[in-house]
Amino acid sequence: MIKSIRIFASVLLVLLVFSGALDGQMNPENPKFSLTIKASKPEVTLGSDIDIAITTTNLTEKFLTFLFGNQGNVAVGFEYFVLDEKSAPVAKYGTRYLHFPDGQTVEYPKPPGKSMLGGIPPGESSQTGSKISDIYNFDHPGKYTIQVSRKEESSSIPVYSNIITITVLAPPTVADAPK
Amino acid sequence: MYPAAWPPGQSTVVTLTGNWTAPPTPVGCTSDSIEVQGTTPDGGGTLVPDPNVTISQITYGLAQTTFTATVLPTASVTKDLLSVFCKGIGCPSGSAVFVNILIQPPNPPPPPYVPFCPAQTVASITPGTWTAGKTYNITIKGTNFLETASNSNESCAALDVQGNGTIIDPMQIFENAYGSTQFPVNVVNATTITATMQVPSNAPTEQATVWLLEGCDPEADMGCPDNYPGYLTFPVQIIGCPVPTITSVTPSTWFAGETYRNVTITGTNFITKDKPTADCPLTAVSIQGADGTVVPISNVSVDSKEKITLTGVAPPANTTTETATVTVGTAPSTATSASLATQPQILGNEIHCDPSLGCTQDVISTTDSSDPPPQDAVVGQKIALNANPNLPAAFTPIDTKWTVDGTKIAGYNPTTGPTDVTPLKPADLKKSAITFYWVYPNNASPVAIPVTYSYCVNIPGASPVKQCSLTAKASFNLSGPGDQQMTTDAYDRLNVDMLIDKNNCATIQDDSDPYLEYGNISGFEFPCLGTTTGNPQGIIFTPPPSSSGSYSFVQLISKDTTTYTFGKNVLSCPTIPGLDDRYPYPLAPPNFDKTWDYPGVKLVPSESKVSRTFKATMYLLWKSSKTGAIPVPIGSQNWTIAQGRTTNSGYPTSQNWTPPVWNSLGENGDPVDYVTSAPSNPSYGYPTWNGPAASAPVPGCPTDTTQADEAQQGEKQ
Repeated sequence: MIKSIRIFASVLLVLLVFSGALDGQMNPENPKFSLTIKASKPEVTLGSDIDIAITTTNLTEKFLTFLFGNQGNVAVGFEYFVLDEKSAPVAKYGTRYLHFPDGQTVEYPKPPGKSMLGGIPPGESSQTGSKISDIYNFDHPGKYTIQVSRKEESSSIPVYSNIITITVLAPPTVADAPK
Repeated sequence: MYPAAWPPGQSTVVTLTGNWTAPPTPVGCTSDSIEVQGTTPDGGGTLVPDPNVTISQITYGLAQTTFTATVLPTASVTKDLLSVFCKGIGCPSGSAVFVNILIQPPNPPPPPYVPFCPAQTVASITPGTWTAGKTYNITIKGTNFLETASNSNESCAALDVQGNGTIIDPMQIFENAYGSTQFPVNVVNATTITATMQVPSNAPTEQATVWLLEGCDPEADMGCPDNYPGYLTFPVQIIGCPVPTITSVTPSTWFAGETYRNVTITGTNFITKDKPTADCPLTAVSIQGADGTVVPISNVSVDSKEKITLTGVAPPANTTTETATVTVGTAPSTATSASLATQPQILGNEIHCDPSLGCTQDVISTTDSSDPPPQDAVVGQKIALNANPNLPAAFTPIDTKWTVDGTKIAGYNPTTGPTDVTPLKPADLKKSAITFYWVYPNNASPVAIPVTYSYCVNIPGASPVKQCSLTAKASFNLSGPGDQQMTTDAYDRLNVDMLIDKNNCATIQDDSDPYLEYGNISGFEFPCLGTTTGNPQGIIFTPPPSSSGSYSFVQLISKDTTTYTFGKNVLSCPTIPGLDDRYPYPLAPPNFDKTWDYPGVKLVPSESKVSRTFKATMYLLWKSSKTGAIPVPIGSQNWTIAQGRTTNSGYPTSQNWTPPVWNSLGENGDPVDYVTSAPSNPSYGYPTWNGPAASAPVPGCPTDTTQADEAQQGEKQ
């Protein structure tokens, strides 16, 4: 995944140098499905949840099979690309540890979930959501771009979504805080 | 000399001119003589006095001499020689003058004119005063009205009438003259003609002229003598009634089924009740729609020459929207059709069907007691209707109102975000167009589901001002997928299954990790593709077959709490209820004719015990194949994993999990509380949610491991 992100960042850099705009990843010429993402809020305060809705639409006349399911609050079957305003990949959370009062320290337990194959009927859409702030550490104010991709179960060619921008605002200062 | 031709049987005065010498007679002459001598045997022989001619009454003069020549009627046509000479022995020679004359009839004179019909006269026409709009049997008295001319079979009499020089229906008159039966003229005898004459109702008061065509037709081939008049004329007096006009009708908009008690017509030349005559009665009013609908009027009051008040104008209830014509005249049967400055309209009330519905007709409503044509519709189908009162721009409908029976909603648009049914709001029912969806078929009764629309408008001048339409009624026969429900097959226990670890979803690792699973699962760990195949997979839901639509699933999680025990420490992680995974819940390959669920949780050595309680409801929805249809609820199935748990005897360094225990589902492991969706259910039986089911923000509770695991796996490399 890290390698993928590095490649993605390189592509972005090239695009920025030569076109001056972030056009996102190239999709197949005739994709079988489309991927659209939308943020629940375009602006959030630092530390708030960032939720995105992901819509997959079958553009063919046959069922398309994908991996469905979720782990915790994140939909499985997708790859997520998150860049900050400097086009630098945003770091993911690493292993997190739980510290009990008696001094016991354990890894966070694994969340329940499932991962299953499922079909999207011809012409229909399937919508899911991910709390992307559970994966990536939006640790400073600024603008972040988010894009996702997924593959059909029987294909190795990914299809990329649109790119959205999320603005993370600095928390209110003490002076600004409600009295 | 002239004339030089003397007709037999006549006495001709002959004049001689020239250098005459007598008197006195020339010297040597005893007297002058005038004789006629024949030149042929018919004239008595050569130089023999013609015995057929006698000369008398000679009057001599120097320049001119006259005499009378009488020719016997029996004289033959011949050439004679007239000689004037001296008589006596001593007459000088050459004293005779000879002139050739002819004994023959003169050029025949023009024959006297003998008309084909004798001269005609008109003495009287009775009656001589005609009233507009009436029909008269008139009698014309005169002379020489012959039915047939003496030299042809043509009529000698014809009738024509003109007023102020304008021929009234000349073709008809012409036809009449030559025997048309449309306008009978009867020449009774030589002195009497009878005819029928209809005076146009719009004839003004004036002096008209009856034209009588004489027997000689000036245009006939035989011709007529010069100055032959051709026509006889006789005056008659036309009494016309004033021609009314209409300038306005107020109010000019009437609604079917309503009664208007004060309709005012303004115009000119109305005949009031104080001024009627035998010929020009009280002005009458009639109203008729374009389709022939007669609009009854209770009372007509001609208030003045310029104003008529109608009371009880009552367009029939079944009148469609159309233009009506108000007619004001002296008699309804021959009424003067006035042109209206404002044409009143009779407005109906109609429900129109959107073409997408595929109705049998555009207008699907009735406003009378008849049943509207029922339309076929399917639950979930987009029902788009609009009312078209076709009101003039000056009128704005008020109190518009739709009524829709049955269980209906304005919409259902499921997303991963907050999703609920959009009900039909009162405001929706007040618009001219309405769009809605029925949720349930009318299984309880075969009667078609009614839809109605009505409205009111304020009409200045109407009494009352607020006038309301009749109710337009439409009806729909609703159908659905039938009495169907899904079937559920549930596995009867929990297992600790070993799922194969995958390194970055690329390389299969040698080890496997245990999972507390509902079902008997094998395969790869998530989130890698191709993971978790097994049989049986937890709980399986199968929809009924459908030929006219498709089924889909939605699962809502109402409770999902996983409790992790780390020796003495316990962490309980609940889930915020909501939509499970996505909308719609995916159908399973390869046939996509069912779906399933097998929730699990990964186990790790640091955990001494893991337990889980899971409660969910799977909803079955059906969506018609009609364009724009939305899904409708069919039924739902609750299912529960209650207090499922397993214990790790290898804690804290290894994993040795005991067979899980749980409180099994219903009877024989299968859930039993299937619920058929019903209108009385919350949200009409639709699944609703506030958002995706999500891990509650409890400190220490995991929200995601996917990326962390991958990161770890990457680090392992």
